[in-house]
Amino acid sequence: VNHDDLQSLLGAYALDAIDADEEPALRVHLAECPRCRSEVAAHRQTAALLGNIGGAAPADVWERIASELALENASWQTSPLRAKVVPLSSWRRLVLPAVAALAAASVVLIGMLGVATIRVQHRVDVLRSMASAGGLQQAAAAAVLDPRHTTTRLSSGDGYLVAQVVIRPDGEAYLVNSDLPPLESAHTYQLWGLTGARVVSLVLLGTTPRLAAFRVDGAVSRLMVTAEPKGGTPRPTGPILIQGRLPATVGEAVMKVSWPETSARPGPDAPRCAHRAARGSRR
Amino acid sequence: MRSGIHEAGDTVLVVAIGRWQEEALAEAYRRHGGAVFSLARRVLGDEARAEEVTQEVFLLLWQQPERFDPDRGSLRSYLLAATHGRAVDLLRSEGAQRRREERDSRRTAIAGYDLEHEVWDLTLAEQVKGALADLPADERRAIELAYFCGHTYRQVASLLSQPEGTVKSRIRAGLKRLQVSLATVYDQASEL
Repeated sequence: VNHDDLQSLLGAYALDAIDADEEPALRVHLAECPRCRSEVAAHRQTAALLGNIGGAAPADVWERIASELALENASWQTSPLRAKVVPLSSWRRLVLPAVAALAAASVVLIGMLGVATIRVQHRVDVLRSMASAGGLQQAAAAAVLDPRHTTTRLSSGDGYLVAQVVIRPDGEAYLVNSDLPPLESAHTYQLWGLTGARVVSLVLLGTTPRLAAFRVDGAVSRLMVTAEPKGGTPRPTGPILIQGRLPATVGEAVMKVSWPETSARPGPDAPRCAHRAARGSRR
Repeated sequence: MRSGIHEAGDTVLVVAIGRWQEEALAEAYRRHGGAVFSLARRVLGDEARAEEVTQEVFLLLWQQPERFDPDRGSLRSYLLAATHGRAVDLLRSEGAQRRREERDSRRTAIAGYDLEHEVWDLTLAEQVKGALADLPADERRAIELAYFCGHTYRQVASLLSQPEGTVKSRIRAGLKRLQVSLATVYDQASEL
C-alpha cells in the first residue's frame, strides 16, 4: 500500500468509516507520519462539529454512572491487603513468573489499589492491564505502588502516541500502557536514553510493546523510542516516535542529541511518509 | 470545592477527574452528557443503546482521563469522537446486524432530512449546518451516510452505486472544505 492510497483513506478513517481490514496498515502508517496524523486530527475536529448536535442527557444515565463508580470503589476497598510489596533485587526476578503467585497477585493488586487510590493518580488502568498478563506485572505493580516512584509520559509531538514509564528510586523502570501499533516482525521498537549528549540503547521493546523493564541511572535525562530493524541497532536510525523527559533532571536546555548523519531527524515539518509508508503492518 | 468545580475549565476538570474527584466527572457529564447522548442516539437510532454508550464514554473518561489531550482539541470533541467510535462499533457488531439492517433502510431514506429537522441547541450549530449545506451534494451525502449513519465508505459506495474510490475521495474533500468554511467556528468550539 503506498502513501497516496493510505492518505486517501484519512477522511473516511476520521469518520470511523473504514473497514476493519484497512485499519491496521493505516494505524501503523499514522504512527510514523506526522503529516497524516495532523490531517486526521483536523478531520476529527470537523467531525466533532458535525456531531455536536446538542440535547439533554437522561438523568438516570448519570445515576448509573455514579453507581458504577461506587461499585468500583467498593471492590477495591473490601479486598484485603494481603501481601507486602516485594522489593526487586535482581533482573532474574522479573523473568521468573511464579505461576501460583500470579493468580494471587491479581487479587493483591486489586487490594492494594484501595490503599494507593488517593496517592497514585491515573494508575488504575496501568494496574488493570498488568493484572491480566504475564511475569513482569508484579514487579511493575510494585514500582507503581512504591510511593517514591516517579512517572514520565512519553508521547509523539502531536500526542497521538503515548506510553508511560514508571521509575523506582533505584533506577528500575517499566514502560507500561504503550499504544504503539504493532510492527511487522522484521522490526522492533527500541528504547533509548539520552545521557549528556549521548544516546544509549536501554532495551529492545519488540514488535508490540506493552510492558517492558529496563534500568536508568541519574545521568539519563530523556527517553526516546524508535523503530529499528529486528535485533536492534547500536545507534538510532529511525525517527523518534515518542519521547519524554525524566523528572528532576538538570541541563535539559543545553542538550544536543548526537544523531547519526545518515538519518533525518523527525519533526513536524519533516514528514517521512512516502518512503516509510509500507514499512510496518500487522504481523 | 463544588463552586470551584463548576467554574473550572474543562482541562482543570479532567485533572480533577484524574485525582478521583467524582464531582468533577459529574460536572463533565452536566456539560457534555447531552451532546454525547444525542450523537449516540443519532447514530444508533436507539435510546437504550445510546444510554449504554453514554455510560461507557464517561466511565472511560473516569478510568483513563489521560487519553484526553487538551492540545488536540476540546473535551467535547474528544468525547464526541469516543462516542462516535463506540456507537459505530456497536452498529457493526454481529448482535446489531438485524437492527442495523432495519435501521439502514430507514436511515438511507431519511438521511439529509434529519439534518434539517434536528434540534440544534447551539448557535454555532447553525454555521455548521450552513457549511454542510454549501457542500457539493455528492460530498455532503457521502459524509452524512458515513458519519451519521455509521456506514463504512464501501457501504456508502454501494448505497449510492458509486465507485469506492470516488466516495473515499468525496468524504475527504468534503471534510477539507468544511474545515475551511468552519475555520471561525473552531475557535468558538474550543470554548465549548
